[in-house]
Formats: sequence, structure tokens, C-alpha cells
Amino acid sequence: MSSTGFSDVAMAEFFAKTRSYGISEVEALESLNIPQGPVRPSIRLPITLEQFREERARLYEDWKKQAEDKAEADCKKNKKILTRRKFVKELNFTLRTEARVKDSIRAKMGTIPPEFQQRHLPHEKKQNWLNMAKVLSLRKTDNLFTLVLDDLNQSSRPLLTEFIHRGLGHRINMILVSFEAIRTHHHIRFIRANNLAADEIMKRIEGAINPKAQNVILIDSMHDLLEGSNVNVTFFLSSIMRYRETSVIGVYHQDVPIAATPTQAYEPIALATLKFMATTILACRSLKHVISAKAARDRSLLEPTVGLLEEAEGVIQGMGANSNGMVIDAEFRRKTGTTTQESFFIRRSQLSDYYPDGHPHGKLKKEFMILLEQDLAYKAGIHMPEPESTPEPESTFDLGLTDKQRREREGVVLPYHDAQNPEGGEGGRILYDMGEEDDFDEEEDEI
Amino acid sequence: MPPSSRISPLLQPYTHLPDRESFILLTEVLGASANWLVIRFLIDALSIPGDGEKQEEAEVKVILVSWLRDWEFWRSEGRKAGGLDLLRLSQEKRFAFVDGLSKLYLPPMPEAPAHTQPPTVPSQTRTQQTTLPVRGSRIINPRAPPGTSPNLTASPTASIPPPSAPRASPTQQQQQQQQQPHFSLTTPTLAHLKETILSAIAHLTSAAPTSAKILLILDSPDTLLALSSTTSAPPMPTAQTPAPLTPSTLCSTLLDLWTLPNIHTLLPIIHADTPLVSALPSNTSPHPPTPLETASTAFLTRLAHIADRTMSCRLLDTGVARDVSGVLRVTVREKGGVSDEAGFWTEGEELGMGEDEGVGGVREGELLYFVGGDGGVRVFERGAGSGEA
Repeated sequence: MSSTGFSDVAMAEFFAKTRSYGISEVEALESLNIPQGPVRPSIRLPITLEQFREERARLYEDWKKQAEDKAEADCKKNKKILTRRKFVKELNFTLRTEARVKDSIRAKMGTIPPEFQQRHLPHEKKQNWLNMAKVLSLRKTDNLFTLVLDDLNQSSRPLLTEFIHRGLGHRINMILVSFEAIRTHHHIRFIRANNLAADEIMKRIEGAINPKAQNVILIDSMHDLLEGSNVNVTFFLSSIMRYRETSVIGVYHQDVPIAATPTQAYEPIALATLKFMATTILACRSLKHVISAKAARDRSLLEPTVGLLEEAEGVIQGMGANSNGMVIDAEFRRKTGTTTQESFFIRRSQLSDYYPDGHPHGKLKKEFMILLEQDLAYKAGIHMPEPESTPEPESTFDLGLTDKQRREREGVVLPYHDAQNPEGGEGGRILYDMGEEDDFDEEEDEI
Repeated sequence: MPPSSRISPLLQPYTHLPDRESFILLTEVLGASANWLVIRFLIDALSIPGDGEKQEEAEVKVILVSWLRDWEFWRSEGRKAGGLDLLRLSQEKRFAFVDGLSKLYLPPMPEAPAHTQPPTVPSQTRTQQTTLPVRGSRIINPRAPPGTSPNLTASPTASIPPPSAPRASPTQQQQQQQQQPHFSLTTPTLAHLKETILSAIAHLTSAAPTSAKILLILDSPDTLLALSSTTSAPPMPTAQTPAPLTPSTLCSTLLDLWTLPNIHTLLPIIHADTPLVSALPSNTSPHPPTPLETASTAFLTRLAHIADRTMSCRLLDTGVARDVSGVLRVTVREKGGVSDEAGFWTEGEELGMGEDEGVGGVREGELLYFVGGDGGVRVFERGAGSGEA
């Protein structure tokens, strides 16, 4: 067990996550702000991490082999000629069971750091998290129209990809009405819409809807539908949504202006109409930009502008746009009319997040979406940009601190902190941890 | 000088053609033109592959559509800055030029005597012969606005050729093919643009139809928006009339061009000066934007949403410097390590990318560049001003 009170596996997972932000392990440990006091009880691992991994790999191989043997034996015993398809199906079933076993092993052997555990959240936050998880997994039946707002600094594509991953995992009929892509994965029903009239798009959507399954229609840019007077977007959306178990996810790029026709000049602007109709609004932002905005707020500075709003001619996209993982400001609207707002963080998904069965993969193993305030990088403000020109006095002395010096300086417990300890401090004693370069001078102590 | 040494190693990953089909957006502003970058793309695509190992790779061909600059400009730039003989390359069917400037609104003019000579000259001496007259004509031609032509002012309506006869007479066309093997746009309609590019593709791939990868460079297609009078009119799409030229139709035409056979990478160059992006919805100016402002902003932002990679040239933020021409910012859309097969937007792609890398292993970043008088370009990182190219 490491000194932090968490098991090695937990720490390894934690480090893997922080490393994905480019944070070193030392920084990550600092950011955790490990509380002093009794060490949190945790399962002590009887084996090292490497042994655990080997064990897991061995188990996996065994299961796979057993499954294959079993399927073959069944095949011989029943004297049936199994088609390849059936064989794969059986194998998949076994693999799924095996994945469950693997998870239970993992659950026993390693614990997740409390930062990632939902049960420590207050009730409302937990409710919001559950809402978002439902929206993401497309399981919220009353969520008919999800409006996704994005801009050039954070594209909504990773979010759409996430919807598609989860939808396909649940065997939902995914229909992509695309004005921006020219091809997609063959498991998605693809409608390339940018040259089609509205009624033709509608016809194709109706053709793609499967009445026996849940359908989700993704529209990767609503602009072409909104522009021009030939489409009534309200009518368009509601005529899709009248199908049973069919919902719409539409993307609106916030920085693309819409040319209003003379008749539209008297109507509410398109975005207002969409926002009015939406049951959930998800606005995408880049994590790096959110963190730098927070850093500026914390210092009561003006929040930096990025991308097209930068005061630089010719800049299209801000640096740090489309960061690895995105922040989503969500607004949920209940039937009662009340709305709740919350910010979330979603990292990029990996294949290992999903069960391997299914086409092209199975269901999500464990929800990895977290509240933004739980995100360590956001908490610690690690991407905080340094002020570019810190005025430093001209001097021959080096007034700066190295990383090591700063760490040590922050580690010093000042006497008045110690005195506030409820158990009573150690009086006025100077608290000093001996470094390795210090040598204990007995004579001086005796004076 | 071998062509590859003309591209700085810092720039190399950005100008190299990505492995998978992609959409790269270049933007420029008035003081910081992206021509040098286009030349670098040309060098990378058209440099002769090595003898041994690169032979099995598909040959890269280039179609350059230019609305603001003519053939002579690109030819001399290509030779001066890139060491490329575009004329020879186009005879070898590796390069095709589509002229969107000289015949778009003007009637076919009688060519200058210097231009009509080359067909009669034997091919060995042709390159030498054309060198001198070209220098002279280059100074006059590219910068002269169409309005200065006496023909246009005399009869503005008659000067536009009818759409039914997009080309000049066959003999004249043949002559053109011989002296400058390129294509011309004669009407500013999207259907004609697509047709012309299709015929350019057919011309390039007539020898080996399947294997070629084509890089399609579109120099300032946003000019079309400014030229068309329909941007302000409400679109009335019916089956018969051609689609009006709006940002959305222009955008979807570009997407259509991307889906044409053999087109591998689409590389539009768009102007991003402040007046052209001033119609942002977040902009709370007391004056409502003009239709043209809205159209150009919408076109640029739409393309930027589609683009896999955006490369924008701009001036130095801190003012003019003697040894820096501008800043090149490269941003990528798809970042992060999706290690599975499901990129979902392109079939069967395998992305094994690092943390900050985008498609094709490209990292976002900012580079400074300096375009010398001889066309040579030094590219360096911030703070490394005196670094070597």
C-alpha cells in the first residue's frame, strides 16, 4: 500500500488519468491534497501490480480457451453444424460473463479514489449526475430533443461519437443526418443531407426509422435546416419526434451566423426557437479554456477570450481548442418546468471502456463521466497559464523558487496551524522535518 | 537543390499529405498571405519520389483552382520559391491548373504576342523562351482588377459569356491546351466549377485511373461569395433553377468536391481578415452586419467546423518585425487517443495518437515564419529568431 492510503491499483488508475493531462505524478499527488491524520483503511494487496496484471491476463486467456472448448464440445455433442454466426454468438456470451468476472475481481482488488466515487456527493449533485448519465446513454425516455451547442474552440464531434458508441452498445438504431461528414462507420444509418430538400431529408429519415427499435437521429449541423424559408424547423423536428421511441440530437454551431431572410426577420431567431424546444441543452467547452477562465476568475481578472474573439486578426481557433476531453454545461428541463444546470467533464473514451462483444463493441462498462468539480485538473487549475511577462526586479540574486523549493516551502506546517489542531498542538515547538542534507547537531540542541 | 530541403523540418509534418482523406483549411489575412504555404504543399506533393521504396505508393497529383491569381503567378512562384517546373509537371499530368480569374467575367481576350509564340517553338527551347516574357507579364497581370479592362466598362452585360457555351471555340481551346495546359472557369456557377474539376480529374487520371491521390487546392473560393449577387436574396430552390450561391451551397459544393473520385485532400484557402469575420453571433455591434459580412463569416466558420486541421497565417501580434513575416497557427480538431477502430467519422481508421496529436500525428502549435525576397522561407519557433530554416 502506498503512503497515500489508497491501494496501488487505485493509484495506478489515478496516475493514468492524471498523466493524460500531462501532469506528473508528484504534481498529481499534491493536487489530491491528502488529508493528514489516520490513514484511510484499504484492502492490502497480497501481490504487486505486475503480478495482478499477469493474473488477470492469465484468467482472461483461460476463460477464452474454456469458452472455445465448450463451444466446440457442444458442437460435437449435439452433432449439429453450428454456423459461424452462432459460434460467435456463444463465444460472445461467454466473453461477456468473463468480463463480469474480471470486473468483480477488479472490484475486490482495487478501490477507486474517493474523488471518483459518486456516493460522497450531495443529493442534488448526484441527481444531476444521474440525469446526465441517462442522457448520455440515451436512456432518458422523456428526453426528445437534445440540443448540442458547440463552437470552433470545442467541436461537438467527440460528444456525438460518445452518443454513437453508447447507442450502438445498446443496439439502438442510430441515424446520422449529416451536413458535414461525407462518410461514417457502416453501423450507422447515414443520410448525407447537404444537397437535399427538406421533404427529401424527411422521407429518408422516415425510411431509416425502425419502428421496432429505439431510434436516435443525430443532426450534425442544424444550420442548413434553419437557413432559408423553405424549412419550418419546428414542424420538421416535431414530425420526427412523433415516432415512437425516437429522439433527436441536433448540433448548433454557435459561431456560424445565419442570414435572415426578409420574412425571418420578424420571427424569433433560430437559436431561441431551438432552445425553446430542447429538453436538454449541452454546451461544449474545451477543458483547457475552462481552466484558464477559472484561473482568471480566481484572481479577479478578465476572463481570456479565445479563437475568433481573440483580439488578433486572422485567428480562427484558439490554442488548446478541442482538448483531450471536454467540459459540458448541461441544462436539464423537467416536465414540471423546473430546470437544473450542471457542468460535467467527459474524457475521450477508449475501447477498453466497453465490453468486447457486440457490433462494433458492447455496452459501456462503467460510466466515466464526472462532475466538473470532481475533475482533478480543474480543481488544481493545472493548465493555468503563467502570466507572460511577470515584472521581476533587476537583481543579481535569483528570487525565484525551483519546483522542489516551492514544494518544500508549501510543506512547512506553521505553528499557528498546528495550534488549531483540536487535539491540541505541540505548544510552541518549532516544527521542522529534517531533510537529508541536515545533520543533527546534538550539542546545539543541548544549549 | 532537392525539393525536400526547401521545407523546414518544423513545417514538414504540417505540409505532408495525411495518410487518410482529410480536409485542411488554410486562412490568410491581407498582410500575411498563405501563398508560400501553398507552394510548400505543392513541393511536398509533387517532389519526385525516391527510386526504391516509394514507388509502390500511389502517386500524388495536384489540382490548383485559383480565383485571385493567374497561371503565370503560380508558375513563377513555383519556380522561384519551390524549384518546381509546373509546366513540365502539367505536361506529365501530375498537375492541373484551373484558372478562375482571367475568363470568369471577361470575354476571351486575344493573347499577348509573347504567349502565342510557344506552340511554334520546339519543346526543348520552350522553357527558356518563356522565361523572359513571363517576368514582364507577371507584374501587370495578377494585380490588375477586372474592372480596369476597357471591355468590361464598355458592355458589362455582354461581357459575360452565356452558360451554354462555357468554352471558347475548339481550335482556340486546343491552342490553349498546348501553350498553357490548364482549365478555365467561365461562369461563376457551382455546377460549372464541379464540371471543370471533374474534367481536370479525368485529364490527370486518364493514364492510371485508380491509383492516383489528388490534392485539390482551392485558392480563395470565398471570392465567389463576394462576386455573386444572390447572397442577399432569399434562396428559392426549385428543381430547375441552379442553387443560389450562399455559404451553405458553396460549402456543400466543396464537400461534394471532396467526395469526387481520387480526391484525397481538400485544401481551401480562405481570407480571415477582421471585416470578413465580423458578423459573429456573439458580436454585439450596434450596426447589423451586411449580408456579405454574414455570408463570408458563415462560410469561414462552417469550413472551420468541417476541417480536420486549420492552419492560419497572421501578422505578428506585437507589430511589424524586420525578420518575421508572420505567425502560422495550426490547430487540429480530433485530438486524443481514441485507440479503437471507432472513429465513426471515417471508416476503419486506426488512430494510435498521442495526447495532443491530431489526425496524421499533427500537433497543434504556433510557428513563426519569414519569407525572404528570393522566395525562400525560414520557419522557426517562438524565441528562436535566428534559428536555421
